[in-house]
Amino acid sequence: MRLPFAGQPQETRFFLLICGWAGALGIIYWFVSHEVAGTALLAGLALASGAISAWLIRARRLAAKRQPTPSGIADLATDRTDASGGGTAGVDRPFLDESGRLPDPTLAPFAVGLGVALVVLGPVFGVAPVAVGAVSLLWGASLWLRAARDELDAQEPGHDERRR
Amino acid sequence: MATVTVPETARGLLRRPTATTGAWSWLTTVDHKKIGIMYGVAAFVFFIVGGLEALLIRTQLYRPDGTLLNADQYNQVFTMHGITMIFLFVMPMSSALFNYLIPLMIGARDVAFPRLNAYSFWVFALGGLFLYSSPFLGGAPNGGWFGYAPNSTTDPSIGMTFYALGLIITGIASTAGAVNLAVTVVNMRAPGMSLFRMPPFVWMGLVVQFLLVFSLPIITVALFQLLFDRRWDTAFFDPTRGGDPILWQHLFWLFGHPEVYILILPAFGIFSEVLPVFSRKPLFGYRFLVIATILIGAYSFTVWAHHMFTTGAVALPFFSIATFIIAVPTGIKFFNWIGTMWGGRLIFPTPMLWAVGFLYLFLTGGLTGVILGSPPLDFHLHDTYYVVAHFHGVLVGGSVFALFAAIYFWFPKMTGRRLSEALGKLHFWSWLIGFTLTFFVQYQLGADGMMRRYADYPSEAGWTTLNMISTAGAFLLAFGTLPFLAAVVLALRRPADQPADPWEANSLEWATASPPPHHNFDSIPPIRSERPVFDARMAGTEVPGT
Amino acid sequence: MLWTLGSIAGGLLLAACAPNATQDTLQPVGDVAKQQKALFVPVFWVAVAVFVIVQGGILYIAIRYRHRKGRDRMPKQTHGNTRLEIGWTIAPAVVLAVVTVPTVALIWDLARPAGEGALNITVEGYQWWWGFSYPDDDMVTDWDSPITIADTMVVPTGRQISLALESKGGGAQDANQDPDFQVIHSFWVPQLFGKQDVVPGRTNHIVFSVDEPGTYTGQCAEFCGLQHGRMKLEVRALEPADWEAWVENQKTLAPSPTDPLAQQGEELFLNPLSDGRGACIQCHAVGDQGATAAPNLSHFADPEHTCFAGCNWRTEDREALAAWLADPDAVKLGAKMPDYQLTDEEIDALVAYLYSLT
Repeated sequence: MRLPFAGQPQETRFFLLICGWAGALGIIYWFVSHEVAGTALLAGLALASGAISAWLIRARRLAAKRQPTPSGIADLATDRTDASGGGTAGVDRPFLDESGRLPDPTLAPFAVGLGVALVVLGPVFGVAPVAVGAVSLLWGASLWLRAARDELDAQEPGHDERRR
Repeated sequence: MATVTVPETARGLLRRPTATTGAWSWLTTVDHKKIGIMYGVAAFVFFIVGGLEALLIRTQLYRPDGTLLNADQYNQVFTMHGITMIFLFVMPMSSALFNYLIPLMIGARDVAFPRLNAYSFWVFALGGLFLYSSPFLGGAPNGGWFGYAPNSTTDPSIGMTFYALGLIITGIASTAGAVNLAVTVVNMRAPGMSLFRMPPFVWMGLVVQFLLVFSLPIITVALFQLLFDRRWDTAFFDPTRGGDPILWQHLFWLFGHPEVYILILPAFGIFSEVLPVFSRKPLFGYRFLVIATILIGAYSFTVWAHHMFTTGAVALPFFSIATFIIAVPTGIKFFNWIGTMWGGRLIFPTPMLWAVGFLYLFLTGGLTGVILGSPPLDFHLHDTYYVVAHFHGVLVGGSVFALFAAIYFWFPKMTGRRLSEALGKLHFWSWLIGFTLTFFVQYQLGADGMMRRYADYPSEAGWTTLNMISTAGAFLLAFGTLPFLAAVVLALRRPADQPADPWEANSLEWATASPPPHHNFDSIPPIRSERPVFDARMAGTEVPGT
Repeated sequence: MLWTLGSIAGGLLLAACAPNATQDTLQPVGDVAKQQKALFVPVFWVAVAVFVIVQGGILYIAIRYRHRKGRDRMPKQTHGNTRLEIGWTIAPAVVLAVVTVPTVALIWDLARPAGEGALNITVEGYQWWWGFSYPDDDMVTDWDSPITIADTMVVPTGRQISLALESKGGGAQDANQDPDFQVIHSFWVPQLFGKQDVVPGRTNHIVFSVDEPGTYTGQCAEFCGLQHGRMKLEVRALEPADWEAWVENQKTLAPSPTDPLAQQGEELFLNPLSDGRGACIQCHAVGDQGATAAPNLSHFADPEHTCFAGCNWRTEDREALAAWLADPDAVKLGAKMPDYQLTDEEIDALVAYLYSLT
């Protein structure tokens, strides 16, 4: 007997499990307590994880259609069974993910950290920390995301040793 | 090692940082080893500050009717002492060790998300600075590290607002770090290192990260509720408007009990590495120890209300039995450590001294924890110095002893220099005797009815002599830290002369130079057990990279 | 090694050598406290036995297996022993199960509600003092309110007593005009019973009895703010005859003062003070006049009312009383009684009046 969703990769199954668990628990919780806030939160969790699962399933279907060079996010939705990086290959065949490059030193983490810490203070201490924090946060985030995108671009098919 | 080039276009305001030395290199580093060292140094600075706060407390309580601190100052000092030692010392020092050692121990080049790793450190550092700006900006937190509502929601000083925000900020750091390290351990182990061939320190680390991920959101929610009650007149903990003060306690301790395991599991991991090395035997019952740890992690979410026995609002038999149950896996681990030593060839350099000291102190702390787990007994002992003695027994005798052991053990790896054995022994014995003097008398003080969180006490109570002894012990602890600082300074002055494996140890971090190169490993020995370097040594294989 | 042994022994000895303390939980007098100690003693000795066996084992191993010069053999690389593992899982579980049985039995015993004929007392926790009111039908004063006192709880010996714990606040304020907040306290008299928290929004209960007459000290046992450490109480347990006499006295008004200074004090107490400084009876009550936000002073000078202001000073300490009236915040930082700028004469008169309230 084939379990539903058995063919999906691990991350999709994870979110489906969370969706099912939150949904079932929400239903039980409502009938036991009739408490609105908790039920709403559990329903929200079920909806959110369900949405993520649906998106991952759809992305994988689209990627399968677009063979033979899946890339980017859709690629993440495919379980790889060789030691070429990304995902897990089971505890009996651990591997070392060396196919990506390590990030260079960068000021981005400090800038984002400073920004987050200052913005958190805002609601209590006023506009000043939020303003300073937002500047640092946005600048640091843009540095960070740009570097990450450069690294992802550099791993596109073509440059990637995976396709030997 | 795959290399990919990113085009060197001049986008952005700054040039891509490339320095490897100097202050700027520390600010921009994403190397787990440098980040680990930054965590360690910051944590140690906070340790000194928290220790000074402890000395203020003990000096105030040296004699009846002490006058060093008034009630307001005293409440701030003991609150900051608790917050500092737990959130700004033990947790970050554990992070320091996890950050430095886990990638090395699993044969990886860095953690899964190096930039996120740096971000975690900076957010933690800023959170700590924010908390310590409070005395200058209106008053330090003064409601206890546990911040019980409604006292914490109604106190007129701004201190508890700093408390809520400061811990929210440091919580962000710990959560990001936990996700990072968990992903690293699950995904980035070297070929051949199955989960049951990981060093025990890595296992403890993995369980800690999961505890963090599940417990931090609970306290974060509670802190937001506290903040809203204080600042925007909500009523989460106000019974006159439909709230409940007990809710705060439930949320706090649902976090707080896993938190104490977050504090102690790194210590268990450290001693699970140190004891086998200096007994010349493998860790006894490795599998059982790992399974016991996982059980402890899971069970830690079932015992929280043993901190709430006197509230009249919890099911006493359930939580008492659950508390007794959780003592069993801890006992299993304890016996496994003793089993490791049994039949071995024991040598006692400084790290091993700390290990034996830990076994003695943690045993007493653990046994008194069982006593406190019985509600009728807890009705007397709760909120007295008996509890203070108990948790210092497990946290100082456990976590702090472990962190010192770890520094003596891994200092050669991190710096290439060895710390002086003579100074180390002086440090250890001062702490063992100092700890006994400071805290063992507090068990008796608690049984004599001395309450916690009292700024002073009357002479008629009969507590004076024991308090004097306790204060003397605290100063011995303080002076006993000086040999350690001296040892570090002296060692750093010497040239780096330590080999890759000065202790003849077991795990992969000893298979590379001291200190390791930036990329960690040139090559990795075969991994057939949890002791790859030991196996290589026994096989006569040259340990690579040394 | 000798040092370790020495410090262990020393620690244990020191722990045992404490002088008799007034709040010694190991010297119980009340029935509940005696039951709790009866559980503590065997559990404690079990813990000691475990400690001696395990620590003894550790010390033996540390000495027996230490490296000796010239003996460089690699020890046997034992990885584990399943039977031992099972053994040392089951043995502690059995010991703990044995401890669980009397623990749970005592939990249920302590949770039993009071029987018929128990004396009911409502314990009220304020920032930072204790109030006691007696709600039973046979404890009503001549002016139709329950007997109410502060700082000392008076009880009869040989009778079951049922305490209802409530957290109060909101009526008084301190020098900064911050009110006394309703917060969590905890009520504990070590020689009589274990503590229970006083939680806003709930009423917890303690049921106990005491056979020995005498004075038993207690204190607040849950951090409740600035002066958590100055929120004490005394329990006066009286023989039945003394108890009856005390109840009768409490039911009537204190005699009107005859001394002119005391009469002046009465004037000051019951009426607004000059220059808009407020009035004592805005918060305090004497007899049928006044409010409930502050300690009830109806029989302030009664011999059983042994202490005042959070039970930090003895009632008969005239200097302390005068200092308190002169500036409460100076002697108890943050006290929720403002400084009324009383002159020395006013203080003398008020003290005389208070001492007339027997």
